[in-house]
Amino acid sequence: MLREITSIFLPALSAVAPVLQKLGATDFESHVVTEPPDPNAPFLRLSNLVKIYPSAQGGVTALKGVSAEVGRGEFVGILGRSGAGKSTLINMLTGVDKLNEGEIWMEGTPVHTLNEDQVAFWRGNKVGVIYQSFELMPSLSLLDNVMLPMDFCDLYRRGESRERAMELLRQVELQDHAFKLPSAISGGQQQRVAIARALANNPPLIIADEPTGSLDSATAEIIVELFEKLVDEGKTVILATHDHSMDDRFSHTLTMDDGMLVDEKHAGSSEEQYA
Amino acid sequence: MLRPRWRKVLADLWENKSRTALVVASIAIGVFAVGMIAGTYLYLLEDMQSTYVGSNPSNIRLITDPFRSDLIDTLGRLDSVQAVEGRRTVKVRALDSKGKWTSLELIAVEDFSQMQINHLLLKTGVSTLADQQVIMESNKKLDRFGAAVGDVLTLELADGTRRSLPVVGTAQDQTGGVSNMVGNVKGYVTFKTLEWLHAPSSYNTLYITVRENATDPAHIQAVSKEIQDKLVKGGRTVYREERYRSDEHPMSSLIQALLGVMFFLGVLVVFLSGSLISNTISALLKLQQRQIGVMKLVGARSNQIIVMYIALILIFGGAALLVSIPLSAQAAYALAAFAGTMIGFTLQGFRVFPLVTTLQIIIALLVPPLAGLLPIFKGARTTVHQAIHSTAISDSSKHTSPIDRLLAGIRGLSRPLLISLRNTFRQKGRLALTLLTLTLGGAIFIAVFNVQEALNVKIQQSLKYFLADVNLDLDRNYRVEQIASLVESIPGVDRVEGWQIGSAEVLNDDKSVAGNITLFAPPIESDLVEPELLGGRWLQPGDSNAITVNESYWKDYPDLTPGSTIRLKINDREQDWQVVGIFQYTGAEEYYAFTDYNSLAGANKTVGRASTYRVVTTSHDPALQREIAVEIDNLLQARGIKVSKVEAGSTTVQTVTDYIGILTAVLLVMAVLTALVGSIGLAGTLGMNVMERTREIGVMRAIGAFNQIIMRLVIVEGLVIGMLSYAMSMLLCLPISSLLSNVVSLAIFNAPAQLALTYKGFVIWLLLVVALSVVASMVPARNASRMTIREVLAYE
Repeated sequence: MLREITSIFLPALSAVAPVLQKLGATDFESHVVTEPPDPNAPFLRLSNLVKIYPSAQGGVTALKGVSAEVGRGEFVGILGRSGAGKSTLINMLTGVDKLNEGEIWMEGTPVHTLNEDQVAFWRGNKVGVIYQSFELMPSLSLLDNVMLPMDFCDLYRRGESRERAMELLRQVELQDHAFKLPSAISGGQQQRVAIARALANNPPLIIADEPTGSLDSATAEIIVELFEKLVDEGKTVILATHDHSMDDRFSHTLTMDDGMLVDEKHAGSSEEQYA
Repeated sequence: MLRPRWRKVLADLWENKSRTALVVASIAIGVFAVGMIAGTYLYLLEDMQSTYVGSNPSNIRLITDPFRSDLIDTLGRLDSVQAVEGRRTVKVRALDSKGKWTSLELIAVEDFSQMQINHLLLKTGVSTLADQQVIMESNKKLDRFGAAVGDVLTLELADGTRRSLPVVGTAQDQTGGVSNMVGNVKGYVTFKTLEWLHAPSSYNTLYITVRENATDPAHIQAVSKEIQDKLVKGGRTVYREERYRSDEHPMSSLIQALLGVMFFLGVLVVFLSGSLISNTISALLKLQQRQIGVMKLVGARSNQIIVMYIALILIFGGAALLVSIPLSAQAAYALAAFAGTMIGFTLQGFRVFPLVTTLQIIIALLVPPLAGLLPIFKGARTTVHQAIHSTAISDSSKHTSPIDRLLAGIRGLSRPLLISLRNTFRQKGRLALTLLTLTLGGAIFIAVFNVQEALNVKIQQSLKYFLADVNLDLDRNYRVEQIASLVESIPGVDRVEGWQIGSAEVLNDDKSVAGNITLFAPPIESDLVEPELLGGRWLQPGDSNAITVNESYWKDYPDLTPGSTIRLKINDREQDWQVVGIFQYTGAEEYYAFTDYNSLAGANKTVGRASTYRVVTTSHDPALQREIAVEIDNLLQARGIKVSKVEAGSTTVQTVTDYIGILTAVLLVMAVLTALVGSIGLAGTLGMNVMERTREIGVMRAIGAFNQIIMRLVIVEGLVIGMLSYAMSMLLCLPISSLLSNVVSLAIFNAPAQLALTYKGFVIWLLLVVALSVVASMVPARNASRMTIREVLAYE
């Protein structure tokens, strides 16, 4: 009887599998509409960003017309105390949340115009995002966690993506833990995995929201060194933090207060004060 | 190597094994039910029909005056007739394995091994039947009687002679249908054996097959009429006529109706498991909202996430198939074999029907994804922002419904009880689906008992025409006074009535035979009939040649009214009878009529005599009825009066109710399956509720709630859902009971049933739903109480 069952069940499954594969396949071109990048344009341009959150008392304006430009290879720090609007700005930059007004352009891509699916695909290709709470998939091994963005964006062949993931884990010195689950490693190690995952599709931009917020100072230092290394390799890194002791590590700092950019400073240049 | 996204899907399955098991079980139950019923249907279609057709069933069966072989030859020469066989049936008494005298019908055949029509399937022993031997008909009645090959039956003949008859074989009548369950035990003998048993060796039953159009009821009826006209012209009376299509088992419409009901319930189970899947998937997606957000964060698009979760559901369905296909194949075989034993056919071996398996695959792989589609689409649309920034403890205070406000207004209950009550209504969509599943399961469960009750009421209705405590049949007419005084001398016997029972031919205006009618003729003052009149009145003292007929007349004679006359031919004498009333019987198609004893005895020329007696006892206790039946038998035998059958009224009722019980037991299996899906749904819902409130439970534990309180919270929540569903089941069972009763009653009695309610289903389901609610909430409750504060507050 088992033969009879399998003789019917297996063909049925094999009939379904290609359909599923097709449904899940990547349609590379149709997702992100980009313009040819202007060689004179900055790597990232933020123009008059406004974000208003609805509330019972009316709207709460979290971003009040933030504008800035970021060049390729910069290590940008977004500074400010809690509630200043750092995370809101990060959410806009990563396309996690929608703007009410303003524009975000990155290498010819009008990020502010992308829909949910387009922005997911753009992010998967162009931006690596890191959060304070690591946000690793608890049921996947570290290796699988790093491979996941490559799987969704289909930029690498199967064997290639595995090798690349191992290499990224080696870069963050976690290759020996590749097959462990996130729960089996420390917070600092999890954050290093999150960095490896952010680099999976080799994005030019890395955005991190309080990446050291839940780590001890020694571990935090290792993480920051990793970011510095990435900048040295030509990546643009934007890091939001409330820790002013990190000011000196950034090549470009944006200081936020009450939803506004109150200070912008480039390393080695004079302070630029905003009203 | 699997892609990480598929690894995640597999990990999700493996991570929460109890959730996976619940979903797989709920799909498997639905697929199992459909597979079992569809499989049984195909077994019946193929095996019941093929064994029936293979037995060369008669198209016409006529019981008539005794005849000799020359009539068979004459009828055999008719162009419309394919074959004719004659047999004779006589009744004797035989001792069963418990030493009790039981009626035995002996059917004399010319040559057992060469039977051309209605041939039997030899089950045990030899197929060559010699004189002074018997081959018993193999069925449930024989099992109760207790005779096997090698046994020697002790028979008592009409004249009191005893004979020993060795059983040399058992054979199955594959055309018998319901007669396999009710009626007398039967055996086959030669005509020489019949002579040896002092019975006439002439034929009295004709078995005829038609030459052409053996599947056309109109043609069969025409041929039957042609033959009956020939018999009537030859001076013979036809006492009974039965007509059958050669391609349709007499029980097939009943079986198909029952399977239809079961299939409906099976589909309902699939639908219910679909709602459970919808619940589980939406809870799973809610739990994994953050993970979906992360996947989108690293580049996943909605369609990729949708495919992942559909694949997850397909794996649930695939696993359910692996479990349910072999189980349902076995169950279908067992159910078909059970039906075969009851109806009288043999299965041609175990097999898996590709059609059934295909149907199961379609259901398992199509229904769950469809059920999960809505929550999946909803879940896949979750934005990264919503997912990553969702709060750990959901705050439902923003959206208050009237129910929430009502619950908020409740005072005087303990805090934990209030929390349980409010928790129950927090996930209203999930609660609605759980209630739907459990309510439908409960309503069907209760309805099955009500169906049984409705059928019993139906039987009781028909038994109102035969209210005696003991029914006595003698081998011939005896003086009523003689039998009455003898039987009334037995302590416990109140009185005895002699009844005339006979058959007649209903004649059309052109004197052709319209059909046969069974006439019951109690004494005019008899109170052993409590008729349900549809028109006119019942018989009254002073009536003569007055008759009341059953409702089936209206189907053929819609103009028949009280006051009409119908022409009957009784004992070769035609006579007009005045219809004074029309009574509601079972709704069966056959003609039945009541007249008074004197009128029928006059027509039969048997005034003052009867072979059928109705005995009324002082108490109507079944035990006394059975006791008195034995005493009557002993007394009459001692006085040399030959008893064909004596049976307590309760025994007759029991036989029929047993039959109904079998039918409802089959329906109950389906009801239990629906209830099972309901309880799985409840367990799943409570599990999901607990999982979603893990952090909340941690906070409660942190502020002092100990294990017992946490457990009680969950169990009370389960009980509240169980009781709510019970209240709704009580209401919903009414239309379901009515619908199911009608379908089953139409199949059995060819007439709809009235809605009947019994406390049994309500009480049993109440106990079950309480037990199910507690059991279903135990595992989630235990899990909740076992969580440490550190675990739950760190829970993601």
